[in-house]
Amino acid sequence: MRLDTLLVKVASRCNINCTYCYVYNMGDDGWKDMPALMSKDTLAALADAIAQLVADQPRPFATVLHGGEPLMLGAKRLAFLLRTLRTRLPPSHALCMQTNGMLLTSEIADICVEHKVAISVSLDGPKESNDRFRLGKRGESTHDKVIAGIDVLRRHKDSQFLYSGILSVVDPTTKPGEVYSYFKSLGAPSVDFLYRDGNHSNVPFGKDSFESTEYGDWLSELLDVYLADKSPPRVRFLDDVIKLSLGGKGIKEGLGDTDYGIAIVDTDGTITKNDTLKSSFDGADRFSEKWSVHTHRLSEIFDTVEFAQYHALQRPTSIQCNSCSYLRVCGGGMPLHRWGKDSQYDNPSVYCNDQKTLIKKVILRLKTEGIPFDPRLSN
Amino acid sequence: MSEDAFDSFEVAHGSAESMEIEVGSLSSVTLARLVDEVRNEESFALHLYDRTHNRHNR
Repeated sequence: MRLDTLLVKVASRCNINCTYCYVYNMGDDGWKDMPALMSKDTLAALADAIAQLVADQPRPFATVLHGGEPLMLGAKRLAFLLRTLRTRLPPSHALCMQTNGMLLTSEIADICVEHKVAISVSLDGPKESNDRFRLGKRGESTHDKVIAGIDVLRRHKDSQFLYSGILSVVDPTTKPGEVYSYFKSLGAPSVDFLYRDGNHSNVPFGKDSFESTEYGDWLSELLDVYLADKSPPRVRFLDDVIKLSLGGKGIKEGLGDTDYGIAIVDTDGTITKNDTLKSSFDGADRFSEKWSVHTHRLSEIFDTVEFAQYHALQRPTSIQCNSCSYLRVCGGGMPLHRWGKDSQYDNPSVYCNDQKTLIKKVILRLKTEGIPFDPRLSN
Repeated sequence: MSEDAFDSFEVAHGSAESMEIEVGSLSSVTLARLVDEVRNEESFALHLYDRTHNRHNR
């Protein structure tokens, strides 16, 4: 099994408290057992483990700094981590960070540029939209501080490298055109949208039922706005749906027919499954083995049967998915969205009808433009 | 087509190799870009691992 993404939780805590985050608000307490920050010993062991994996696996992969909130490391510890990583890794190795932007300073920006780390910021839209769910620990607005963080990236002399884009969770009650225009006004070179966490036993916010298509309708409206724009940023979710419909490849986990190799490193160095699985049930992200960067070689972990079984979870098992002509584009969605207490992951995504709505819209647009699309989608 | 593609879809049918579309004639610059990217997919292959912002921090 080859890895695409190693996601490193350098901090297990967050400085804000988004109401849709399961870490604080959906029953996941795993973070309480973890060190708040990755120690220097673990950072050094991590760097050695990644360097070894680079040597063991010819295909490139990305290392993504995550959390919690990764900037809770602070500037000094972040600089130590990145310096340690970069002295062991080739310059071409992709290092990135996903942050809520609240703690971004010019010092942090300089450290990231020095060590070639691109930054993506989480923001859900204009102030009113963002502050509906992305709140501080006392329920206060986070919007203005995030915008100040984005301004640091935009003003930096190496902004073009540093500012990789904005990540947003869809709120189907908002107007897609307003959210899109707002992100564009922030100079985002790329934007990605996520479905809310949820499953068949815990229907996501804004969805009336499995059959309803609130998110699909929202994304379809966004598609119209996007395709009409003469100078658009890249919108990865839509780009992938279109490219897959054309018969090409995607890059986004949860879409398309490519398997992605993903592993998580927790703040104590433990290797876990995709952290999105935590929203299914308590402990869903844990392996039975206690693998760690302190004691195990990553390539050997990824070659185990248990890791292969976890990896195979990406492929949908339900009859509906496997007989669906849209599977090549939809991919059955993310495993966390397939979860139900009775049939576990043996379901279509809870967003199945949303995905179908969007894919139909894309196919119609391709037909209108006279662009050939993957003939399997016609069945 | 990725060698990791799901088994049931290993044969790519609709690859844009067969597209005879003149991208300049399309009404959307995004569609033109994406058709072009699919046509020249191998040169974009490195982006397969560029997955910086797939998920929020948790």
